[in-house]
Amino acid sequence: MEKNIEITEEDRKIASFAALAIAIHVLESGFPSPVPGIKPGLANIITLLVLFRYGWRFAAWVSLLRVTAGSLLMGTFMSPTFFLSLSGALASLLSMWVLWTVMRRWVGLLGVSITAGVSHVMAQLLVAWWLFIPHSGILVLTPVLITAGILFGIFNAIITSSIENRLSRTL
Amino acid sequence: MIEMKPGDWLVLIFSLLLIPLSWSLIDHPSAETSAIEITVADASPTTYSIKQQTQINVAGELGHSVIEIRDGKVRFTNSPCSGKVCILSGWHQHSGDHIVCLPNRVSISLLAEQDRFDGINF
Repeated sequence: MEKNIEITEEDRKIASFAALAIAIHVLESGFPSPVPGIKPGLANIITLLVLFRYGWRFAAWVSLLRVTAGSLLMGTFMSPTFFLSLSGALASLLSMWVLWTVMRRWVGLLGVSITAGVSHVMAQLLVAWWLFIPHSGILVLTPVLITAGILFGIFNAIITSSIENRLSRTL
Repeated sequence: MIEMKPGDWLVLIFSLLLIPLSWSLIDHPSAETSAIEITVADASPTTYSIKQQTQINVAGELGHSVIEIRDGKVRFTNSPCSGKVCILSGWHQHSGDHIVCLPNRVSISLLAEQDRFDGINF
């Protein structure tokens, strides 16, 4: 007997947004960064956009698919890079859940983006400290990472909002 | 532009305050260094006061490293290693700093009377 997995409209949307996020993720990794380990996390624009339009569950799918498929493409699956990426994604999803699902009345795109950015870097730092570099010297990176997380959080929120404005005009 | 809800302003202001705060926590002049700890290979460390003027001869993996303590500062003055990174790194005085000579397996840790903090959690 032939078994069919039903592919819903939602599945297609998740897949296309995830594909977009993966493409950005891979492209971004090709850009040189003045400070190793600091990057804008442009793929998070897609996560934010999807969160804004379709809700948290949808955003979680897109984000986790991006981390998994992105790492397969980059050949970092199950490597330290992957676990850092995953921990960052999980932490920012958690913060998005709290801010977006529970406190949506008070917090919008900017607040979510900044909080997600900071959660992302802090989770990565703590996981790196816990698993890979168990030396408290790594904490010296805290201000660098927090600053980057906040600035890129603002940056990504501005981009997301302008994309969202265009989308809502055309769609 | 972005629609700003009250919580957005709150997060924005808080995060802009967090940037200088996080830098000041880390960058602050560290507590005064009171002692140094010299570790050779896997042996347990030996502690010396930094408030003295002395030269210490340490037998490492390759040979003798010479460590100088003066004016509350410490440096390597001689080392049998090939890179001489330890010597070139110069004087150190901040607690929490380390000078490490990997080839000779000699390392110096600068200690404070009180540790400032072990970790920061957010």
